[in-house]
Amino acid sequence: MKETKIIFLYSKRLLLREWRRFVLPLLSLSVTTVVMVLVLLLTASSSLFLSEQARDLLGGDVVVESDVPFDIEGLWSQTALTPIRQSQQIDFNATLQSESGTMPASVLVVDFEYPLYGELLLEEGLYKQANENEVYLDKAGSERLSVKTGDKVSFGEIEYTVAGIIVSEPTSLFGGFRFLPRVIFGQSGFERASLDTSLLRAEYTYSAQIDNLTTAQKELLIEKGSENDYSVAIAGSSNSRLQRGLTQVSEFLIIAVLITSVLAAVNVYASTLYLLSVLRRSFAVLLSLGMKRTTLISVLGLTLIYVVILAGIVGTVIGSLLFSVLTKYIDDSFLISLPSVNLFLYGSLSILLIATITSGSFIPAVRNVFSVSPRRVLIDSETTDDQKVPLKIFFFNTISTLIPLALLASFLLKSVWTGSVVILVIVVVYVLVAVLFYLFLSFIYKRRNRFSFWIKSIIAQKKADGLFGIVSFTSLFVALTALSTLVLVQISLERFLVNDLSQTVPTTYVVDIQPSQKDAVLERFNDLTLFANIPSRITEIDGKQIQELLARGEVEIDRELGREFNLTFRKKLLASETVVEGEKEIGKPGEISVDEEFANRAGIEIGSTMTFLIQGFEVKGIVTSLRATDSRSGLPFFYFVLAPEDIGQFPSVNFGYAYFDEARQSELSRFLATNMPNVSVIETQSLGPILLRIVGTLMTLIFVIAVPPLLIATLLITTLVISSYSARRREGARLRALGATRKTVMLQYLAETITLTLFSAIASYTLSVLISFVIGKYYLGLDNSALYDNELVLGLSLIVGLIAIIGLILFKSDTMPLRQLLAYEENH
Amino acid sequence: MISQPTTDVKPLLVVKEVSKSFNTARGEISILKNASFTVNQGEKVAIVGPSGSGKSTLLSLIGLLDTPNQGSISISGIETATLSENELAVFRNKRIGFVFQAFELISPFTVTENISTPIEISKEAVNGEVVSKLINEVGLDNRRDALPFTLSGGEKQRVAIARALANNPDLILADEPTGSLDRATGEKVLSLLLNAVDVHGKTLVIITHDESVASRMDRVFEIKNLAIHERN
Amino acid sequence: MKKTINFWIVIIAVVSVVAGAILFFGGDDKIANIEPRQVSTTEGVKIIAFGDSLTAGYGLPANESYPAQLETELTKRGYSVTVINSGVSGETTRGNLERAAFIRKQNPDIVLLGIGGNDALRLLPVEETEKNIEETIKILKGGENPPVVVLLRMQAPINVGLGYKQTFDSLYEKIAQSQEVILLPFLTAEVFLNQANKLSDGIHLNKTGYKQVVDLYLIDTLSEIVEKITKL
Repeated sequence: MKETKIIFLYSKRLLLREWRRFVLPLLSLSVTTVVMVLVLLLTASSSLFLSEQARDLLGGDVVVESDVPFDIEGLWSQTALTPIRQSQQIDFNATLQSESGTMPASVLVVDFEYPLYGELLLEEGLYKQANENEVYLDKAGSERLSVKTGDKVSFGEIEYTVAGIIVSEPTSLFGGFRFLPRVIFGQSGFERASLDTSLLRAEYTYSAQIDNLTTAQKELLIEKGSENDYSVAIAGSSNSRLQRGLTQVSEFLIIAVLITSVLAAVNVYASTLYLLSVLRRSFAVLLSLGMKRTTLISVLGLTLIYVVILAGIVGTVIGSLLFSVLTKYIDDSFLISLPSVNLFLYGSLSILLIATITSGSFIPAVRNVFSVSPRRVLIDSETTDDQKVPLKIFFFNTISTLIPLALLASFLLKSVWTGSVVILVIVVVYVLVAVLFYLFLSFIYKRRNRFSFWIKSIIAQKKADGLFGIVSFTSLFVALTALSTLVLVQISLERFLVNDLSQTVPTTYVVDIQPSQKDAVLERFNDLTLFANIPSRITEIDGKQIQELLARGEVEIDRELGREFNLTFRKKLLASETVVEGEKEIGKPGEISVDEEFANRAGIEIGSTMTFLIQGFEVKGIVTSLRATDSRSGLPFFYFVLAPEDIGQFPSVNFGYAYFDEARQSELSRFLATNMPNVSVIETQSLGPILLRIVGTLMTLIFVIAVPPLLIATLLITTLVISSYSARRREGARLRALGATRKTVMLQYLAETITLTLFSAIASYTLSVLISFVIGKYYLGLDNSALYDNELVLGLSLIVGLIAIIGLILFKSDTMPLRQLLAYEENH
Repeated sequence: MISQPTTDVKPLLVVKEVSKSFNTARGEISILKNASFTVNQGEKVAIVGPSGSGKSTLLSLIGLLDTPNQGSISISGIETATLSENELAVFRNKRIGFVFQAFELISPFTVTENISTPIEISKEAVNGEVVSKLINEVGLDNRRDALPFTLSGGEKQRVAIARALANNPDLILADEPTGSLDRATGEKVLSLLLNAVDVHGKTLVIITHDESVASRMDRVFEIKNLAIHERN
Repeated sequence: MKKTINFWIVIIAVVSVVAGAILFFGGDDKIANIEPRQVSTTEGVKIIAFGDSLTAGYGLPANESYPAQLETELTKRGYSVTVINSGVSGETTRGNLERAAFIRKQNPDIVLLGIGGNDALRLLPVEETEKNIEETIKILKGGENPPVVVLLRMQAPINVGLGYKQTFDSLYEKIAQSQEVILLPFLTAEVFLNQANKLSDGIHLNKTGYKQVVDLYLIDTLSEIVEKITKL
């Protein structure tokens, strides 16, 4: 018979006759594929969704804002960009009238292309386009003017028809705060009013759709923005809190995919190893019958290919179906429509990935076949006593399995260097754990006689398990570490999204409370935090007369130093502030605390002297502390904090913030409107629902992506337990023949499994705390990482329990009589 | 003519009307039907028969690794059918010593540890001297700390013999003890086993298809057509 | 976007010029009635510029603000004066009123009161603005030896709506009459409509803008007042 024919015949026979042995690897590979397909599809779709969100919230891929009309085409030609579409908006304050009253409003004039991205939602449905007779009002505006859709309002002396009531603007989260109700005109409608735009204190916004912006182009745009009077924002690159949140979730998705693939690799590896250990005897027989080792490897390889193809097809089909169901479910329950992605592409990618990882673990399989000795397997009936240089084989095996992972990581992280480093770290950890475990086993094995028979027996068993034992333990460890890391990172991120992002931004800002009004306000609203605002100019820094030097036109003095600065006085740091240098206590007489960044720009150091001119009076002080402020907190920001004793006597205006619910907020608004019309209230509450919706969306995505790896980890652990059980079956039978009871043997097995899992769980939890801290701090840029989580600890305990239960079930369901277990024939 | 048993001869193993059958895909297969025989204390008995005749099944039944469908087996006057699974385990541990064709040594245990295992399972203190004596008896003084995979087949079977004697059982059951060994080694191992049984005054039931092995026993039973008969 | 010439600007320009002319020629008797007073020998005539960002010189170094330029010009003309900049950016008439006592306590010889722009930008009720400015002037003119108060005329930006703008713009004349203070133009169409006089925000004047304000509207009248005060 021809060699190829033999290979096909035998692999077919192996698969058909011994199909029971392939069930577990097939199942495990299929589930791995399902998870990979699902995670890849979800990640691709979510990343797309997130970048769309970032763009929608900003209103364009690139958005330029300026206080004066400016030559946007000039900017495009300077940066060699050609927008596919662009839109221009003008934002200014004006009054609107109806029959029942007059209302100051924040007017937005939009062109035909508006909105480039996102939706302008009206009570009547989606906004399409405004004709020259139409105007759109928000709810506050329509209430203030007592008008509804279809009614007339006038602007200047021109009449317009209210064409719709605005529910939400696409950019409302990034559009900044508005004092006044919103009114939207179309370009043609605005032109009818014949306002001269050069007279307006207006803000001009240019949004553009530009695909495939390169990093260099982004940098150039930002540079242009910082050099000139206009500001440039780029979707996904902005440093705003929410944009950062979106970026972080995208980065988390990459971590989730990586961790999943590590789990997948370990799982495939364990499955292959299991398959090899159960097929070893058959291989030995084939070898003893004169089959060449290379032929045997080909047979095994072909069999594995069948399994991978089958698992790939099953996994991709189920994974794609699950994805469709899941996106439908997410759409129905959370109103998030995840964009569709190329199923074929990601399906193929998953199969390719699984195949690559299987090939990776096939290399150790090849070595394994070469290590099969027919005499030892058949005559000595030893199946697992591979005591020869396990470490060397182990190193080789591990590295060969992880090479495809390094490639994947490089692809996902878009850097070969980072990808390799990440995987290298995993390898180092993996090998380190294996070596430590091996050394620990050797150590206690030498001292085994100090323990009771059953403990000694466990130690001896573990030692005898050799490579397989070490790999199972290490794999379990890696799986649990990956899982814990994922959960901890997820919790940190959720914490950031929920606490940091949605809660430190106050719900209410109050501007312009006068000294005489302060007490009355605080009496009614003692949960309002107020800050005094005292405008001043810097006249001197370290002996340099700033204003005089500027007046003389000294070029080395930054003109910024000549401007007005708001001073405040207090003795406590805000939650958003930390002292990075100098005295921790601020607000002592004669002392000044300066913002660190400003200090660097202005050459101010600890010990510098400064003089401020406040309404004709000079105030001197020594800089004793430099503060860093988290600008994302939404809390007030001050360059200079002085002592109440030094500047408290000057007339000051107060700025305040609070965390109010809706009832309290309207109470405040009513109170101020009647008693203090000069005080403005800025409510951010209206942002709340949108923000919460977005945070909710992100959390859903995170959760959905974090669940599949859990599934795969559980499966992996099951595989490991089952394969370690099958390796242990005969030993158990021998002990029973010698008079050990079934219960004792079971207890021994359970004790062994639980001890190892528990040990593994504790060690992996410890390691994952470290890893997630590093990921959180240096990759995601989160300020506080989660170090403990009840649910995670509970989850790990459940896994330990699960393993015990699986072991127990395996044992209880193993009804093969002792006689048969000990029969000379192969016993599986 | 059948010799009358002397008064000091006590029956150690009494197998009465034992039947065993298995359910397989092809239906029920009977292995043994109404098998009855008695082995006295101190006797060495062989059970012979062609492959698949049910020798090993019978040994599993006698060794309490399996239970009959019908009939009873009593060892040292104890009716084994009345014992629970745990009691059976204790019984195996104390009263029966096994020697398997495939040795069935505990792979991670050394020679000494393997031999001590039955004692350790019985939760009694291991008497180092007794174990040493057994090791010496089977001629493995220089291999006492070796692991099973480093031993030759003959050596492994010697460990198995020493292990079978370790708990001072009444009955030694050997299943083709020389089956995995070459003739010369098999011969040596068999002599060692018979000698040990004599020295310790044990009862031996050996399963074999080898007539030369059977001929060295006191009595020989033959399984044929589901039934067991004593050869004259 | 196309620039359109519209008739509002014409109206504003005409109103401003007419109003300016009336004030310029009609303000004489108030200046004539100023009594000489004791001034500081070191500081000379103490003038406090009291107002919002237009006084503070928002977006500019201190020396480019109007009080600094006024001091330079008066000094050039040989007068011994000190002009203190007490402008607070973003201040409304209400905040201004709160600070009035603080200003009065410093015993200035002349107070240049330039306030109201932020009220218009925030569309605060005009009656409130009027009441606040009147109260401020009362405090400034209270007590012994009160300073000469000069009210600087502001204008509401065009986009607040014509109705609001008309009421707001007419406010200053009304107050000047009721409170008997000198009214000088400050934010006029002539200076304001020239882009070269403004910062890029379109609302604040730059160095050139303030220079024009000083040269066109302030310096002559202020020289006259200083003359009167120092003519002992």
